[in-house]
Amino acid sequence: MRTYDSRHRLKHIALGSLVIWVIVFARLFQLQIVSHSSYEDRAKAQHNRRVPLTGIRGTIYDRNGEILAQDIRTSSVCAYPPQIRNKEATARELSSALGISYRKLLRSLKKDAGYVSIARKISAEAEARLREAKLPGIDLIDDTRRIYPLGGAACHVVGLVNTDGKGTEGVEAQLNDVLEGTPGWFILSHDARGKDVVTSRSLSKQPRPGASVMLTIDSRYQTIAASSLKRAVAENGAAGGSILILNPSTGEILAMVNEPSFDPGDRRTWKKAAMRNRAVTDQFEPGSTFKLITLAAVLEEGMADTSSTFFAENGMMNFGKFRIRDTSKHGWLTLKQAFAYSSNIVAAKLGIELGPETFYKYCRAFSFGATTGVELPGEVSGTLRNPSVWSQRSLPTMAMGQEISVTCLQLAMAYAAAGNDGVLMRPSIVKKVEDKNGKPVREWAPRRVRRVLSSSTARTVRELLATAVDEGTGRNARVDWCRLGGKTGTAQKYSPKTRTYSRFVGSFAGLVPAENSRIICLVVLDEPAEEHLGALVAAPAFKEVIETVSKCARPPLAPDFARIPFVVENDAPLPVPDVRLLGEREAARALRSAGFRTEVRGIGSRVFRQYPPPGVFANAGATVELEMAENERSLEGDETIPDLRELPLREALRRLSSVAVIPDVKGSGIVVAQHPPAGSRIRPGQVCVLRCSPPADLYRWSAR
Amino acid sequence: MRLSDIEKRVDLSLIACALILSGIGVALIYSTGQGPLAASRVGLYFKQLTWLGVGLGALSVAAALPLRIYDGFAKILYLMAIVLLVAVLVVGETRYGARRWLDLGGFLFQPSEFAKIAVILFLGRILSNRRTDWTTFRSLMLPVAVTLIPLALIFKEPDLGTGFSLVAILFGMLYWAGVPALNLAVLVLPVVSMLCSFWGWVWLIFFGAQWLILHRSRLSVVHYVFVMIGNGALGTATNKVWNSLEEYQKERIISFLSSGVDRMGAGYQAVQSKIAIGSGNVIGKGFLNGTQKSLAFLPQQHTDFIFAVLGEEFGFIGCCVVVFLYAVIVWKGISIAARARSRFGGLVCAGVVSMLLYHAGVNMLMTLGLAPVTGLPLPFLSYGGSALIVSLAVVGAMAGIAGRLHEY
Repeated sequence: MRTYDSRHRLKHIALGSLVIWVIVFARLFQLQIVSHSSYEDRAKAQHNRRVPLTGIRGTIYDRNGEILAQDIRTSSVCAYPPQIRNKEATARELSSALGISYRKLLRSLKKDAGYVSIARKISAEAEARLREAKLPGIDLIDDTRRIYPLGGAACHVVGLVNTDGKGTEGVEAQLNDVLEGTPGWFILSHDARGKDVVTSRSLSKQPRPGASVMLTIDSRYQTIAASSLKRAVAENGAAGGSILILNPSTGEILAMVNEPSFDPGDRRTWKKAAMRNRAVTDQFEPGSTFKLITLAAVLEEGMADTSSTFFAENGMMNFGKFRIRDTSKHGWLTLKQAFAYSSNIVAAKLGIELGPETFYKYCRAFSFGATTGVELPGEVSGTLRNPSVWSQRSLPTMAMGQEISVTCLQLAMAYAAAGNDGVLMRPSIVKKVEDKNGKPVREWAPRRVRRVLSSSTARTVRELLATAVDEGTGRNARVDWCRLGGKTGTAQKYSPKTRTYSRFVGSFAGLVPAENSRIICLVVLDEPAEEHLGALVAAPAFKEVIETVSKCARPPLAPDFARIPFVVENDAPLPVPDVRLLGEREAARALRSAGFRTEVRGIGSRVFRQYPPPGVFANAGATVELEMAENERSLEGDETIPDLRELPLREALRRLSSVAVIPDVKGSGIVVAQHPPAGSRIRPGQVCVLRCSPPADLYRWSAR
Repeated sequence: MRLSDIEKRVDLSLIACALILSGIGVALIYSTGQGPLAASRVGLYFKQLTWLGVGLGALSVAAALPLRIYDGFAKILYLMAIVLLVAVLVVGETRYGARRWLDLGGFLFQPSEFAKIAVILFLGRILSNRRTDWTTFRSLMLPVAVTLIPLALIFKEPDLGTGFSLVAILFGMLYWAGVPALNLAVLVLPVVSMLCSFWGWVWLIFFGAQWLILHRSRLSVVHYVFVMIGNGALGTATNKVWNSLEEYQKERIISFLSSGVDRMGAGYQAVQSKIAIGSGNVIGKGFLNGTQKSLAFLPQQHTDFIFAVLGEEFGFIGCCVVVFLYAVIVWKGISIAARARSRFGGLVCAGVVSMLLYHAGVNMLMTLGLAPVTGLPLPFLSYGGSALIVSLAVVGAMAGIAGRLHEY
């Protein structure tokens, strides 16, 4: 039996309290030291939000520094529904500013959410309007938008960026890693009720802008090729087509356009078929344009020379079970004539004479059946089957360009090899990558693949190509200012639907000029509706392209241009002739014969303004300034202000100068707004205010 | 009078610990009043500082008063406490859904805090009666009744946390008075039986334990069987009654048992408290730098969860210092109780120690996620005038007893 024993009780109570302190101590140790990091993470996860900062994407330039793709600052609209009292009025205001349907907006605003996104990447006008309206509960978040000043003209080469900022097409996709900025972040704390509290201690990592890419593309050539192709496809009712312009001595692609095309600024045009860069992703049977390879092989192997004669069998010849026809009947032809008239029979004969191994060797040497390695996504290798699987008809058919599939780029490179003294170059689309300070990070030097033809053979081939244009099937491509070399092609296209060769591909490949070629141009029209001969569909388009290109090429493509001697008869003042709306060459000729010098400004196909104006007397030998314009509207005499928004200031000024409007520039960079708006009639002395904003800041708060 | 003279008459180290803790409390309350989200707590530290001053006065008075005064006034104080508790139920101020305060011209006085002192003194007076044989069960009836009256009134407010502190005081003092531990266990048996009756096999184990306890206690066989049957019947009845209750009635009982606590948020509070303490690490985030505190994730941060603010801003070391100070106070209290010649003085010390230990222990365990969240302040640290003044006063009383160990 125990009685009152204070010492005993003392021990018990002390022990009891000790137990509590030990438990508290142990638990503190466990929470604050053992599991500290997990609780710290939970604490941070609760009140810290990592706000990503997107580095702006690098700019894509053409070879002359013109912008092909650039991020500009814009805004996205978001709403905090609980803060909006009058949802109807807000929705109405937003609807009229953004052009989104009222009901859709009202539904978003009535959502039971603290935050809703209303519209992304809105226009400058809408932004200005919303900033002015200051709607409660509506917020504008800095964002960037990518603009493509050339629009559809360079769509396939430049490509596209998706909403996440990743390149999906073209160079944007191929060099995404380079263009993409390094994202940064900062920490935004918020309290238990979710309200943001920015603390000065917020950690942050600055984003880095992406590198800029300079392409080998010349945007002038690109636009010229694009508009010519568009017209050619429309006129011929073709299903599609491609035009390639490249520099034979470096392999640089100066223009690469395809139809159908899309507008990078308009989502509705982003159809799958239109997105394909057909010049590298599609293969086709080239037809007669491929006879270049047969011809080059025969000459290189020394089996014949230009004057060797062949019997063309009067237009029809049986090769075992099948038959080859020529478009026109010929008897005996020299090699030169056979090539100029594009005789299938002679080509087939030459192919057989070469034998499968040699022919295959040359095809391989020209890199058919292999990708060129150009910096563009989705390139295919074409189809060049091994001789072991050839049928009896394969060799003669291939010699005339059937039973083999090539890409436009491969074919153009083969012609470039002829123009480059027999050396095949590797095509390039990217010139260099520069960091944000303009320091080159990586440069693409011209790279030769291999010598495929000897220099003399190449010269002979060029001569034959020139003959084909002068006298043969390529006559439609002839220009008066220079001697071209070129070859037409009309390939039958196998249609899997009808299982017949009922459709055609018309093509024309040419060297400008034939000797000392400056550019190689290839025009391919897919499934033209009525006429299908390359001579009739592709050659005129080719001519149109190089005619226009020659006007803006500096130095001129043809060395003989503008070398007509200048005659001064006397020093008396003469009336200045009216050369407006004439082509540059005609205008120059007219002025020269009247005794004036010319100085050309601007780029375009027609003279838009001249100074001194027509009828004014000026001293003989005086210089007449011609301002050229290519704006179609100005040619039609429709004097309206062009749409200059989203254009780089430089380009905008150039366009304004071509419509005789005085610019009033506010800011610098990209034009974000103009007044008067596009389409307004131009009055004498018209001033147009251009409000510009610099390209996007170094970083932006990304949309939440 | 020099300090050494004072030291002879009171235990200065005890008072020092209490004052240091109160100072830390004021600092932490100041910390919770900082930042843009603390609008409701701005300036509270100054109020607390005022209470600290008042408390210091109460402490001095309590230390100076001779024991016989306490003994003499115990009955009157107890009756006053009962009157005040009744008054609170009639004219009290309601806050957070509980009627606990009397408005004394701007100062909200909490009679339940005062009742604790009264119960300690009155129980001390009753239990100091040496003629009673405290080993019998009959002897327990008076002290239990004396505790149950204010307990019932406090439960009515409702304020379960403070109510149960009276139970802690009762058990501590009974034990100190010499009531055998087994007798105390028998006192708890009915309540345990009620709780265990909800789980069949737990209840079975309970009966085994009950049999062991009763077997070792000095109860006669008749009482023994009576208690067993009584507890069995009570448990069965509880279970039956509970199951026959409508959902809303159960709901009411649960909400009574968790009164003063945001039940839906209780889990949230416990989690937030653990996060705040856990993220403090060894030395804490620094004074005023607690993120969970300043971003308002930590609930009741100036009152019930002030220990979490300490853990967040001063870390493991800060918490250990505070725990150590409490341990010193408790240890000092126990040793004074043991050394006091006066049985009354020893019992009062035991009661005070039980109360402080209960408050500090349960509050800390609750803050650390080891005990259910019941609204219970941490003595000295939590914001609140009544609690601070009472805590300082009882410490003063203990210090005074320590200075007059031989006084009867």
